[in-house]
Amino acid sequence: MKNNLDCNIIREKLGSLDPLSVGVVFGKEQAWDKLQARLDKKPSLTPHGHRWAAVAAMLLLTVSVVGYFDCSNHSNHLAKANPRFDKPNVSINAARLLYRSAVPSPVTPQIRPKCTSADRSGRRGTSKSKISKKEQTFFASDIIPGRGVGARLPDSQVTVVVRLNSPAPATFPMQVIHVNELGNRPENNFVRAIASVADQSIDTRNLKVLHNNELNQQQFDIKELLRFNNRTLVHTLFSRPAAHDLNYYSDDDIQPGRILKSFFKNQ
Amino acid sequence: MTAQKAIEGCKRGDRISQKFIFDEYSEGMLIICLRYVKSLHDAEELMQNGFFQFFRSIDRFQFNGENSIGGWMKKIMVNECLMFLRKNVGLNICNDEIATGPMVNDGPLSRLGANEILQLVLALPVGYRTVFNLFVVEGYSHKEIAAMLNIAVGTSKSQLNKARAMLRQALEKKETFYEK
Repeated sequence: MKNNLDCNIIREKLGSLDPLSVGVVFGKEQAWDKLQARLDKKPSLTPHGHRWAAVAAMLLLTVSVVGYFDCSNHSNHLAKANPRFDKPNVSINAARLLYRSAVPSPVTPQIRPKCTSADRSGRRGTSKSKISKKEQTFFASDIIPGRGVGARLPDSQVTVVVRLNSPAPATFPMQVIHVNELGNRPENNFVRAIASVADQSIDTRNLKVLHNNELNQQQFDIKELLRFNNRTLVHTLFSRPAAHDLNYYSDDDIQPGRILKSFFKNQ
Repeated sequence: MTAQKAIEGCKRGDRISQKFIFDEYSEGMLIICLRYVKSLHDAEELMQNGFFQFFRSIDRFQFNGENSIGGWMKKIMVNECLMFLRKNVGLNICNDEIATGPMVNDGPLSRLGANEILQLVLALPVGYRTVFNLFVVEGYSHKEIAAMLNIAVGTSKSQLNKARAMLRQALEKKETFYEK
């Protein structure tokens, strides 16, 4: 009861206060002018808006940094797995592939003599040589008109660049077969694909190619063929053996950024 | 111009109506702000902020007599003051034990003027003063105060009792001074 009485007295007394009785000089007009100026001002970006913008910027930055380091880690991992396959060489090879049409390949075409079945069987036991990076990158330029292939490609203007990125060297001797020799095999469809491109009828999706080099002996599904205007085929088998997810690009799709992206992604 | 028409004008963004409302209520609102923040400069700033918020959110306001304007505006002002105290002063109210101090006698209080009571209230520490203002002057319950200040109900009660104890001491000093 007493408490209520105290409260009431204080409430009444404080409620009856006005600035003059307290001795406060209050510039009402000035305060109104300030308030009016604030009311006239259009509401700009709210503090919450600023916060969201900051959060979005941070998110973007984080994603870019993570993406950058992700790419770096992939390259480092590859370099660690095989010290001979270091990053600068990757870039050089990527650049080679990107500007393949403009710059001639520094790797000389590896044209090997015709192989008979007897030769192949003989070579099977002898090709335990050290594998260099050049050998990992397999270029076959200017397909020579020859048995099987030459009959189909009389102009010999189709260039095939085949790249196998397999960092792990083979632990056992394997048969080495040149890409030009693949046409001799009935199960090979890759050379048929070349021939179809030469005939300007491209149907290269889900074809199979058999590559036997000094590294491994594997079958790849071809889903990606880069075709340049000068009738050059660039087959980029950038993927690791486990990942055969390759895409097909037409002439218009050839962009260095996309190819590089594909390159690093698949690495 | 009546208050109702002024509110309708404010909803249309009419400057004259806004000026009318400002002239009517600005002094009272300034005193409310002054009870919380002491400094006249800060109180003016908070009063302007409160009016700005009031005019910005006037569409949500429903007119139920003249008292409703003052009540709504007072709430806005108190919120502005509490935000200011949290931000600048650091409204740290510790969770003390509930102290049941003696009540203030109504004798000396009734003899004191409004300005003297205000000075006594302003002399309280910020935590005590805030709870005292919210409970005694604005009429909030301890539960509401606890929610507003993010403290326990017991803490609110404790702060109020301590504020009263301090006021009593100050009143006793004043009594002794007057008796002498």
